[in-house]
Amino acid sequence: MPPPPGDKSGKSGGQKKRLAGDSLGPTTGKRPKPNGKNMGSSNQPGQSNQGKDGRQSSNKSRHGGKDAPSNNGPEARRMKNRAARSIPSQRSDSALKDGELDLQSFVNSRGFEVKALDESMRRTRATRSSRAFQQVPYTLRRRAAAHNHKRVPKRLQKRAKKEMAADNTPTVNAKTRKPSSTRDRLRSETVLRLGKLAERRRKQKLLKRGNLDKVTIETRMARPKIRRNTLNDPLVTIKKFKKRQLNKTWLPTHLWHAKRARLTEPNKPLWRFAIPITPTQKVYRPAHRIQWEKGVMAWDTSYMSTIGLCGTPRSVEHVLKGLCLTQAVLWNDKGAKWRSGAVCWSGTLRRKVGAYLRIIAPASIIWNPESVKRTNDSSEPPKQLRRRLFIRIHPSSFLEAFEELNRLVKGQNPRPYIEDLRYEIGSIEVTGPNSTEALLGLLKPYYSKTESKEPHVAKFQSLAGLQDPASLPLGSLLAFSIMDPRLRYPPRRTELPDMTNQEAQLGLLETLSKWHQTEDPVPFALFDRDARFKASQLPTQQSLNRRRGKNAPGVFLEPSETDTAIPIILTASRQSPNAGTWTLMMPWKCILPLWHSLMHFPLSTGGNPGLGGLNEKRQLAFEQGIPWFPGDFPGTDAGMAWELEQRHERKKAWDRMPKGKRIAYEALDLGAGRKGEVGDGWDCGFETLFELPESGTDASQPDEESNVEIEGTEPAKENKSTKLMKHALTHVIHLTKSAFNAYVDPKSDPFPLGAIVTVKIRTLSRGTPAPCARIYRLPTIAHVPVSTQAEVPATEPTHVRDNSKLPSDLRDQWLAKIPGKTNGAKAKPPLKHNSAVDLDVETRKRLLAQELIGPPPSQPNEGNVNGHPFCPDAEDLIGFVTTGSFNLRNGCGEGIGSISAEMAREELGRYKNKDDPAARVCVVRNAGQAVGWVARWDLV
Amino acid sequence: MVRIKERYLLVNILYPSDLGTKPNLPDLVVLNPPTSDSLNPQTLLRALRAQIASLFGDYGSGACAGGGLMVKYLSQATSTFILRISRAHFRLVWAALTTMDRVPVKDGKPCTFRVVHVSGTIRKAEEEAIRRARDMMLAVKDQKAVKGNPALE
Repeated sequence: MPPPPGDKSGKSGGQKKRLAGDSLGPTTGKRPKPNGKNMGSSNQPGQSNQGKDGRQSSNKSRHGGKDAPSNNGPEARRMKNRAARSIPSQRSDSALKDGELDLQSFVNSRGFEVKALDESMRRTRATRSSRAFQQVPYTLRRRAAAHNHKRVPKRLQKRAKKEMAADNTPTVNAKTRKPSSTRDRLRSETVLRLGKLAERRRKQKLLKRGNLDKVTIETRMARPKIRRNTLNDPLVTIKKFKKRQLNKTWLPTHLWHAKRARLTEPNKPLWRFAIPITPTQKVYRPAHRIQWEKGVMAWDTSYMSTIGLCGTPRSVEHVLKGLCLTQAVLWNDKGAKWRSGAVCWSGTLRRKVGAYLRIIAPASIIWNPESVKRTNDSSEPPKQLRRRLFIRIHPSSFLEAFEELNRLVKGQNPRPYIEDLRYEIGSIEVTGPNSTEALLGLLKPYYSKTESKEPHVAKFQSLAGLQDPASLPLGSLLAFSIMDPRLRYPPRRTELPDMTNQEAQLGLLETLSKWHQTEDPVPFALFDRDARFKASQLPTQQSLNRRRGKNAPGVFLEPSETDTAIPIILTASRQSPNAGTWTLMMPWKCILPLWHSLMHFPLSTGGNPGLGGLNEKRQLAFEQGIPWFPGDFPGTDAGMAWELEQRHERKKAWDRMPKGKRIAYEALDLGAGRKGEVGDGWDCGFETLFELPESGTDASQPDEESNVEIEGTEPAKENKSTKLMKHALTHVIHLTKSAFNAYVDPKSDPFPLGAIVTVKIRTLSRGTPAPCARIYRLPTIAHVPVSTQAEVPATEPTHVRDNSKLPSDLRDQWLAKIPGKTNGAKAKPPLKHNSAVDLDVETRKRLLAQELIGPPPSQPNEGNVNGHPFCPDAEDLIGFVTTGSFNLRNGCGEGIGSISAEMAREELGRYKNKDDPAARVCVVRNAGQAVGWVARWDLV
Repeated sequence: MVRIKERYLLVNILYPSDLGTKPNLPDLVVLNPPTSDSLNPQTLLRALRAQIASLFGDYGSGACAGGGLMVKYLSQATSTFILRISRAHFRLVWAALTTMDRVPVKDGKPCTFRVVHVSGTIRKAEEEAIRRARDMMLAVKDQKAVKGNPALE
């Protein structure tokens, strides 16, 4: 019978209760000491006189372990953890003195508790509960690192190996692995058979070589054919994987990207290429930081198409004018620089369709400079001087441009010719503040002697310290030859001038200001087919390694005769300030070695360049506020194809959702008795906006069959294009900003039906536009003329709604939503009406009476939508958002969209004063939502 | 993160019936005397389970069956213990503790179980226990502060 703990007699009972194997404060993984004095005695001097064995016990004593296994197995580890996690505690008599309550003992027992808990916390922290592969930083994590110790960094490999052994982690040896599925078995059998075949072939070859005499004639490899005026055969990047490239082309860096990025699905290539969509690692915020803060992001943009055009200057000029390069600036003295090849032009190509011009795509055009000595091929008559130029265009509209060029070329005499250089010339795009530095470190000029030095080399090298390629003059272009980047692998950090130094800054500024002054361009080697071919004959990695082996360690290789010069053209684009991009064009086969070097380049700000995919391209364009081709150009053929594909995807995703979870577009309550989404929720329905005739088949849902066909042969592609041609979206016409401005004068011609213009939309208060969001203008005033009405031209149509249930002051409600000083007063009154806090009793009574005898309380979405004003009616719909998201750069919701050109002109005409708060204000409502947000649009 | 969600209850055993019996000692000391040594984790768990079963029936006993309920720390000298229970059911345990009025040993003294802290990790429960023990030490040393300390009242 144990007496109450406070009693003296409790002591004896408590003493005998001690359990076997009591463990006390096991500080390390060692076996707990049987005699546990270590903790209490050191902590509690006051208790030492009565500190007998067994006064202190651990809660976990029952696990204390008879005899822990000496090996490092899981059982031992578990024991260790258990020991580390147990907290020592004291028996009741340590808080008593001779069985009586005592102040000092009370304090001492508390002190022991504090020490014990504190120690326990420290011990559990030290006990390793994470594995080696979990400690690897985010960017160094690798797939299956838990099962393969070689996938963690070197310093952790030993530990990982030990842990794996301790944990009995199952590992797989690739050599002894049994195939798990039928496909695996087939694959392994094929590998075996191919191996045998290769072995036999190798033996036969050896036999043959033994019989033959020494090779006396050296033949050069066949130069790839470039046909004129027709398409070229796609290139098979790696012969071994020929079968995988039947319906698409691999980029030169395909294998590299396939391991590090998500590519397009195998049977769903994009624009007939396997294009990296996004890196495997999370990159949204890093991409933003790279663009605006520090670092480099690079894309392999070899999918961009290059078309060569060659002919007499006059015929070439006519062809280009046929592509609507009719600006006088290009063909008069101002354009002489461009025509001489010193400057690169970027703009939009258009073609005539009926009475209007249809945009093909944005493109850039580079002329090959005339050779000063006028030494042409002997086959060419000397007076028939020919000019060459490259047109670099997006692959989605390549075919359209190529066909148009072919048509234009045929009408010329003497007839120029075009070449499809898609698989001849590849390109890399580099952006970020450190991009110039990386290029300076990688692109080493091939000709180092001063007499043979190319003029652009010095210009390029004077750019050291340049942060932003956009600070170069418009259309800057450099062309020279570089040496094989593998000769200087691994790349080393570039020596940069100290940019805090005034002189260095001035020097750079001077370089930039004198950029176009020293001009005597020589022909670019990249235009020369032989130079391109020679550059493609790169020495093998083996031979380079052999040469490197002869050198001392860390010494770069010197270019020998076998190393050919690689011709490049480097252009700086500045679509938006502070965010320029370098575009490096070089022979297709030279992309890979440079890419490897680029990805390993040590930047001065730390780290290496990052890789980007298509999504990052779109993201950065969005952050810069520029439209991305083709997604933001629904009025072009390529943009229409993109939009239809997106519609199909969104529809599919919507269909896949269970009925209860997806947005019921048909039941959307827009308030004021309006039910259902305007158009389809997954569409940017420009055809409904203009009420264009729906003709032909339903092209918005291409069936699987046609999808497969598209990638196949040429006739199938025509099928697709004819099918698309029938869609109502074909009647939507995209206007460039300059084309729109030509129309802006109200007296000018009316816009063609279906004309749209691209705008940037920024929300003024809250809200984030998403793709497919609807753009409304503010409802026009129907009844009373306001002061601004005087400025409105008489021709302006007034919208009088007879049957609309929308409130008459809807416009003012929306204008009140614009934050700012001027609208603060407007926003207040409705609020004050609701809050009857500072009113006296009489008024409150009156208000209550009014409320009671007034109309019944409103239904949901009757007076407003959760406190937001109603969206304007469908007749005020002016356009759709094609890209929308939160812009990390500006810290607000933004979107790129297209609006009806007619309505845009009306809106611009209504507000003569540019600073009018209501000018260019619109309401953006996401598809499937009833709440709209006030925003402002700007032409881009 | 996907893991088993748990709650840690820090509980004090108080003896309010002893108050006033020892005029020469501060109330705080009288209220927090050590608990009988015969209270060990096993007896405590058994009593708790029985109480939960009587209060919540089969549902309750199922909720704290197996390894669901666990004593992480029990100090008889300071009448403090830490319990671990799954997050979904910690209220059952709390309710059972509230309704228990005796130390669950033979002829147990009347007492009150006071849940002083609930946390998601044992670390926070330990930190709270340390804080309370420190406060108590200080308060006892500075006897005047006992009455005015709201944390201990």
